[in-house]
Amino acid sequence: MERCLISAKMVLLLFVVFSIILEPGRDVSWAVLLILLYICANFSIYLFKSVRLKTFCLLLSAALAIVGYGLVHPLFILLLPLAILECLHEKMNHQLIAQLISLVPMFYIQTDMRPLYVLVALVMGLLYRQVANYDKKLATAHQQLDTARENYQSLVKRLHERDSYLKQSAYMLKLEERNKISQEIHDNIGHSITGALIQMEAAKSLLQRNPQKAEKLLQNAIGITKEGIESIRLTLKNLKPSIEHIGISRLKLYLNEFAAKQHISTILTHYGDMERILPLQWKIIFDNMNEALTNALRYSEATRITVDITVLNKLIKLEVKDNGRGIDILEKGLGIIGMEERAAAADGKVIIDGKSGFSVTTLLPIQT
Amino acid sequence: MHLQKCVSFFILKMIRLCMKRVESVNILEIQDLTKKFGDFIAVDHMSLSVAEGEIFGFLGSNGAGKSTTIHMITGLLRKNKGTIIVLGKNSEKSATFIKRNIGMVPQELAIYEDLTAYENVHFFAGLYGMRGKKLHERTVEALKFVGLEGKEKIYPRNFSGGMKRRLNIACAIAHRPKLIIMDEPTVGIDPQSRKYILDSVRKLNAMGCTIIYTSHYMEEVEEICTRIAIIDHGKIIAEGTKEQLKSLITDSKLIVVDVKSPEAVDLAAIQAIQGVSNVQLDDQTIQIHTELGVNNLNHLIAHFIQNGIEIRSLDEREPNLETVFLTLTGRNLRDA
Repeated sequence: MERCLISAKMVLLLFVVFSIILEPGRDVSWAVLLILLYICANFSIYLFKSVRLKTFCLLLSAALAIVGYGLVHPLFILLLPLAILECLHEKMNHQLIAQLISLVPMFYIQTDMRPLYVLVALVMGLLYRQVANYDKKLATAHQQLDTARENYQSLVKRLHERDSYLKQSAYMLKLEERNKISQEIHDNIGHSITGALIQMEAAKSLLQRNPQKAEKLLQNAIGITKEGIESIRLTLKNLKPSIEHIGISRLKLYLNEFAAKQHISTILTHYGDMERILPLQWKIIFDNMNEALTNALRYSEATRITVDITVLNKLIKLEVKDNGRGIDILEKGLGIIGMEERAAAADGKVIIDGKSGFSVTTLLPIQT
Repeated sequence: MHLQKCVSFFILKMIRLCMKRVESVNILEIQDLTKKFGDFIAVDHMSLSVAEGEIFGFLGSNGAGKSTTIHMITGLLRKNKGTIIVLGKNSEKSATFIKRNIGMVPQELAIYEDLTAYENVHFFAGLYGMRGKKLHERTVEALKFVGLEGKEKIYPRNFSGGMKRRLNIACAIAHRPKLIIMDEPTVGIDPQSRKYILDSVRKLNAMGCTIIYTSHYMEEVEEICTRIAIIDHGKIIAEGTKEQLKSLITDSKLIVVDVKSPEAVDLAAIQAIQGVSNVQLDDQTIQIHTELGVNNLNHLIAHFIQNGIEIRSLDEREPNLETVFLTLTGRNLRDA
């Protein structure tokens, strides 16, 4: 906008300068002074930040135009309309009114200057309005772009968070498993093999001197190794529990603890083939149940909470329901949004109903 | 030579473009649609698409967000978030175009009791932009379509509930819209009118109209809709054909056969019949679990007849949409 206005002023100024120079027999020194002052005043507008100084500069250039008109050359009046328009721009909502005002000086100037003045005022007014409009549109477009960008950023961020949640849960499960395996190996198999090794070392050193003793020791070692193999078998069997077992028993344990701590009775029921629930889905089920329990504790004044897990043909359903006071109109808090996001990470949905008690249902599709 | 190549390339490109147009025939596309009334979230990040030629059912209890969604599609309500694209046009930018090219049958009767049946249809078709001779022809045609021919000059206040509903439909279809939205068009009417309306929905569909049909009557939706979205608390909790929806909760149906002499039944032989997954003897009845979508009733009955076992009764218990809704939400469709 500024660039456009400056060029408009330049054009006007050039017109005035040429007209004055081309007029024969005139002293141009005063005109040069006024024009330089005008240029100074107009450049200062863009240098100052305070609105007052800006207005002052604008008024100054208007005054220069009037002074120039009165004392030096009538053409100076052509610089007036733009100054008026700029001056009024900040204060007026309607550009049209500003334009009308810029036409007012017409009545006070020489008759032969009037047509030219009107032309310049109208053209400048039109230009000014167009530029101002364009400027406004550009500003809103920029703003929209900014909000769009912000939205995009936040969405990307949420996507990342969801991803990292998935990764983290998978990693946690892996760590737990690894920890358990190393513990088992250390406790059972490690001991047996070390025992057998010691016996065999002893047998080796006794082989020449006391074959009978050595044979006995070897027999011992064989026994221990046999036991070891048996314990490996057992360990492997123990190490490979059904996922369902971990999931359901963990839920049961948690619910019992919760009931004992909070004096709310809890009931856990399940139906269908629990084996079909993946570890990650167990994690979501556990987290969502946890959140729902916390909510029930905080808001519901319930005395009983039922948790039901049903495995349907293509869906897993977790329902946490309390017998509390429910709610008519729900305002979604972070907890509920969190549940929704967790479920959405596994393509699931969360239904919340507060009409009789409060119930949170998480539906997760079974992944094949 | 070069020119020829250029021209053929251009033509190919145009054809491809046209094909693309034809392929993407989603009449309605909704993305992330949200509507709040104060704190109450009526429609919660809903996304769905309806293809051309479908009868798309919105199934949900009262207050699930069906009508709110429809009002946003037709432009009667402002949305808080999301995009709606109807007939390939954005609902915000081309509101007038959309309003002219869809037919809306609202839940509350939108007819004037002080105008005759003919005048009602005439008036509404006029609002949709019909003029002159065409307007008259279409009005007569629409009235005939809903079975109100010969009743043109009667005032709707003398109509039965079912006839009013039919007139309500005639008002929305006279301008032959590509997309017709029906918001609970069968509330409070007699079975005969209901059947008539369901039949005309099918007929409209056969004539090339895409129809969006909302209802909390499970049977209706199950009967006529080619694809169904189950809505609860402003969210689509399941979507698909009725078979797909049923298969969400189970892949089997139960056939209960009550026979005179159950001890004579060879369970293993029944188990061998195609589609049977499990057979149990329970007192006098035999409970046969069968895969959904396999029709083996003939084989089953033939088996009993061949073995001389008398059938007292036979009951096929298939899951319906009501069961699906109940299982998914824990509530009945009729619960307010």
